[in-house]
Order: sequence, then structure tokens, then C-alpha cells
Amino acid sequence: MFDLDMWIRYLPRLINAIMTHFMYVIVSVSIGSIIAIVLAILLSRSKKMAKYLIPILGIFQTIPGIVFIGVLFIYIGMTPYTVIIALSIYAILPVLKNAYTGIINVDESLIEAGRGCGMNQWIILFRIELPMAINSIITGIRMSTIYTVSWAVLAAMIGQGGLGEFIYIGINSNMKQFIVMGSIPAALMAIGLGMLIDKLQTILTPRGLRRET
Amino acid sequence: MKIEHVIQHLYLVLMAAFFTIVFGILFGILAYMFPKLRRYVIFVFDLFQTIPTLATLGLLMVIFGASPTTVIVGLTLYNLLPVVRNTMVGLIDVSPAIKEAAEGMGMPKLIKLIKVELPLAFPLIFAGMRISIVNSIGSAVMGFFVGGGGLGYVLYRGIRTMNFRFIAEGTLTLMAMAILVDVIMNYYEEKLTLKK
Amino acid sequence: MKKIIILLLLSIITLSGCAKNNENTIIIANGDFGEMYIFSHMAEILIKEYTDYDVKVTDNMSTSLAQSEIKAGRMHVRLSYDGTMLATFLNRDVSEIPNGMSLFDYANEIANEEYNVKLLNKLGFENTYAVAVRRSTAEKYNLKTISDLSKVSSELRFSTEDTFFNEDGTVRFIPFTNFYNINFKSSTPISTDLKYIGMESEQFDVTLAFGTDGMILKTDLVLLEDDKKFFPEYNATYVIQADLEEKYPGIEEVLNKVTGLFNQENTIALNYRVDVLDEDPYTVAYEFLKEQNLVK
Repeated sequence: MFDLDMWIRYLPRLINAIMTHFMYVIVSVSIGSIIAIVLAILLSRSKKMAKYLIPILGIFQTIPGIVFIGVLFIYIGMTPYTVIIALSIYAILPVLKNAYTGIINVDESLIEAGRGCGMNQWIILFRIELPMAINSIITGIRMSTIYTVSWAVLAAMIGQGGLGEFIYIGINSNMKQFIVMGSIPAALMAIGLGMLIDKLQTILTPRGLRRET
Repeated sequence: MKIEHVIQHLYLVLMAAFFTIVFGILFGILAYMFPKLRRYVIFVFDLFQTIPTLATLGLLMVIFGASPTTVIVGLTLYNLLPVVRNTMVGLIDVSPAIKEAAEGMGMPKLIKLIKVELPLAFPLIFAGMRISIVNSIGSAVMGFFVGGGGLGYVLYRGIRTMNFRFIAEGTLTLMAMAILVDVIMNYYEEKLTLKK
Repeated sequence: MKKIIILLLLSIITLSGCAKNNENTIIIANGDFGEMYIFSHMAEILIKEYTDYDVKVTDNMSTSLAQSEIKAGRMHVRLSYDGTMLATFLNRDVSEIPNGMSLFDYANEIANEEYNVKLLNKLGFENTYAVAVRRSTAEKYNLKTISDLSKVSSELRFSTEDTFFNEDGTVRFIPFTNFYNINFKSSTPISTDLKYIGMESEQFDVTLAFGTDGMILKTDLVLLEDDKKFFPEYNATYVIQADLEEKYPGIEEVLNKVTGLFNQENTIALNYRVDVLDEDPYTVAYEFLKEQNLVK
């Protein structure tokens, strides 16, 4: 069932695919998260806008990946940039939802206290709101990362590498080994990144807020 | 031709939803009753979610062949986590006072579970069901690759033959389905939470 | 009450008997893509028109399933291609064809000897791989054959399904480019679904298409001649049980009525109507036969 020969033969190509896939995930989640956090901050100032905007963005998530990549690649071409743009956009929502919820749920009294101390809105943002919301934000990033590992298989649809290569060839040529060679590294990557982010969350959460899971 | 695919799609989603609810609640209860198992149960179902959907379907296809069964099993596995976790957490979160009261009345464990704990945990369980079902509407599109039909067929056929009507119809139907289910379940979820 | 139940049971039993196939029905094994549907119905219409035999086309089925049903003698007629027959039904390699014998004849011989199955006359078109370019590209570089292409290949980008880039197999990218001495500017795999969109939006210039794909018409592609014959032959033909003529005299002549009526162009046009315009395969088959004055 487990064909060692094939693994050895395709190892260089597999490693290449893993690295490409990893790059897509890291870059897209980073870009998506930054955009999401900025948006969350802006929306937290206008809760009314948030009520409409967040569901609308949610609608984007329901557009199937292939349609999105298909449309994008017509205009941007068969390049890694197309993949990164698509994945970054998909990565925004999970982070946005959590960051937004995290920021608006910061205890009003803390913000009041800050104002009382003479802090301006920027200082309040960076020294009170964001640190208090960090738990939520990172949970959102974690979700986004795990989803992106899954979505990044789309890159192979326009020949831009990644583990999708192995999975699609496996399904199209009916080669079970290929499917396995594509999925196991993907699962490990998602689990690994998940654990890494969990560790990060523990380090970044202000001590007073740390919860035992 | 299109209605047939919408119905196929709904069939896949509803069948998967049924199994997700049944097994999800089951495993959630197990995790609740055996605290030592909790970490492992959550880990296993988390794993199913981290393997890319297409890969899971591909592997299942080897066992069940290219058929709707593959898609239903795949969708179920992929979406069990929210229900399992929410069931477990919901049961844990039931107020200790109530649990004690029930025990104090001499209720056997099973009856306590069915008559007291589950109903109280239900709002959270329902929230988990909602996440699962809405997710599976989107994931079921991939079912087309492994013989499940559904809206995936309309979508991929539209893309392959550059038939923008198909693409639009398929995408809009999907979006409508997801939004509709989400809104309806949200309504009931809020009603349930208010009741508490 | 008892009487009603007995009546109901009897009617159910009789009705289910009617639903079962008449022992003497000719069964045409359908396929799973447009071209197969069209030709399955074409055979069905011809048999209905020229004979009194009962005939039925099955639901969609995969090639492998259809082949096993025909081997078992449970199904009788099917559209196939000599190349496919040789490779997957008869399990022979192209290299085993004796010198001087055509693939078609060899396949027919083995089919007859080993499986009691027979290939009817060639329909006239091939569904093999074809190298395709946009019409504008063909005009710009004056391309008619793949050899023409190889001369300007360094300026052109190539893209097709990822399976063509696999390492094992003879009909693959590296053997192909070696055979024709081609050196593309770039070569990228792409999902089948996005292939024609890519050609149309000029993401790349050359692709590999199935010779009778309806999308060739929609995207206005030009197929280049395989002048050095790299790609295997895939002549379309009806495959039937070898003893079908005995059981149903005249059947071979009926099915052979469409011999030679097809070529790449008109087959692409038929597939275009079914796959792209989403027309009903039965209607498309019927209208073609009508135009050929084979049905009223």
C-alpha cells in the first residue's frame, strides 16, 4: 500500500512542492492578517458599517476557489502573484471576524481609564485595545492559517506548484500514492503551524489574561 | 438540468449533515463523559479538518469509488469538529449547580444527560451544527471530482466550456444557499440563546 | 380487503416484469462524455429506423464498466476507438503490432480471437491528442504541421493538463518535445477546466486538445497536423459482439451506414452542440442523420 519507491523517486519534487506551498501560506496569511487587523480597527470605530461590511465580505468566502482563481488568472496571468492575491483575500475574513470581536469586546472601563490618564486614541489602540484583543486575533490567524494550507492546493490549478500538484495528478491519473504524498505533508504543515501559533499565543498574551485551555 | 444538480447538492449536504449531527453529538458526549479522552478526540477531528478537503475526498475515493457515498463520508468527517467540540463544551458548561441538583434527585447518569444536560447544551450544539452545515455547502462543490455531482458539476462545466451563465448560476445558487441556511439557523440560534 | 391486496401484488409483479428488458433487446453501452452520448443515440436511431429490433441505450457509464459489460456479453454495442481498444480492452502495447499491419486491423484480429468482439468500419474521425494554437498564431507563423511549430517553438508558451507532464508513459511532454525537436519558451501544467480559458485569454500559445473537443470550435483553434506521427491513432468505430449479426441479421449493415460520414470538423461541430451549447445528444444525433438523409 505504501510505495516507498515512489516516495524516493519523487522526493525532490515533493520537497519543492512543500516549500512552495509553505511560502504561499506564510505570505498570504501575513498579508491577509495585516489587512484584516487594519480593517478591524477601522470598523471598530464604526460598528454600523461593520454590521454590513462583515457579512458582505463573508459572501466573498462562499465564492468557490476555482472561480476566483479562474477569473483572476485571466487578468493577472499564470504567476505566483495570482495565487497570493487570491489566498490573501480568502485569508482576511477569519482574522477580521476575530480581530473585530476582540477589539470591541475590550472592557470599556479600561479605555476610560486610559483616557483618564491622558492617552490619545493611538496610544489607547496600541497599549490597551490591541494587547487585550491579541488572544482573539491570534485565534483568528490560527484558523486562517489552517484554512489557507487547504486552499493553497488551488495554486496547482494554474500550474503554480504547491502540494496541489500531487493531489490533482493523483486524482486525475488515479494514482493513490500521489494523493497520499500531497495530503500527508499538508496535514503535517497545518498541524505544525497550528502548534507554532499556539505557542506564539501563549508568549504574546499578557500574563494576566492567560487562560488554561 | 440545473434543478437536478441543486437537488443533488442538497442531498449531499443534508445526508452529511445528518451523519455529522448524529456522530458529532455522540462523540461530543463521549468526550464529555470521559475527560481523559478529550484531548485525543479533539485531536483526531481537528486532523480531519486540516487535511485539505480534496485530499480527503481523493483518499476516500480509493475506498468507496467515485460516488456520492465518498462525498457524504468526506463532508461528514470534515465537518464533525464544530459539532463535537461544541457538544463537549456545551455539556461541560452546564451550571454545576444544576448538575448537582439532578444528581441529588437521584437521577441516573444517562437520564441526567438526556433530560437535563443535553437540552441545556443545545444552543451551543446548534451553533456548531450551523457552522458545519454552512461549511459543507461550499465544500460539497469539490464532490464533483469524485463522482458526487451537485453544483460542482454546473460550476466546473461552466468554467471548462466558458459558459458564463453556468458559472454565474452555479456561484449565485451556492451563495444563496449558504446565506439562506446561515440566516435561518442564525435566527433559531438567537431564539435558543435568548430562552436560556 | 384481501382481494385488493392480491390484485395490487399481481399488478406489481406484472408491471415489474414489463420493466425488465425483453430478452431480445439490443443494448448499447453508453459512455460518460458528449461524443459517446451522441454516437450511442445515433446507433439507437439507426437500429430503430431500419430494423424491427428492440434497442436501448444505457445510462451514463464509465469506460471500464462498459468494457467489462461487453466482455461479459451483457451489452452488445458501443462506440470506441481502435487505440483505446488495443491499450485498455485488449491490453496490448502499440509496439506489438506486426510490421505492415495497421493498428485497426491488429486490434480487430485480437478482439475477434480473444474476446468475441468485433470492430465495425471506421467512422472517419480520430479522437487522439492534437496540438492546437489560436488562429491568429497559426496565421502569424504560417503553421500547418507540428514540424512547422517546432521551428518557432522558442517564441511560444505551452500549457496543458498536468498528466501530460508525468514521467512515465510514452505519450508525454519530454518524449514529445524530443521527437519533434521542440523547445518551448515555457511549459506549465494547467487544470483541464481552465485550459481553454487560458488559450482564449492568451495566457499561453500552444496546448494539447482532444481531437474532437467541441471547445476547439468555441475558442477558434487550429489543429496542427501530426506530420511525423507521434501521437497514437484513435480511429472511432462501433464495437459489437462478434456474433451479433447471427442473432440480429442485418445489424452490421445498418450500423455501417454512417461509415466514413465523419471527419474532424463535423465531429467537433456535433460535440460543440452537446458540450458547449448544452443541447440534447439524442436531438443532435437525429438531426445529423436527417441531414444525411438516413432518417425521415
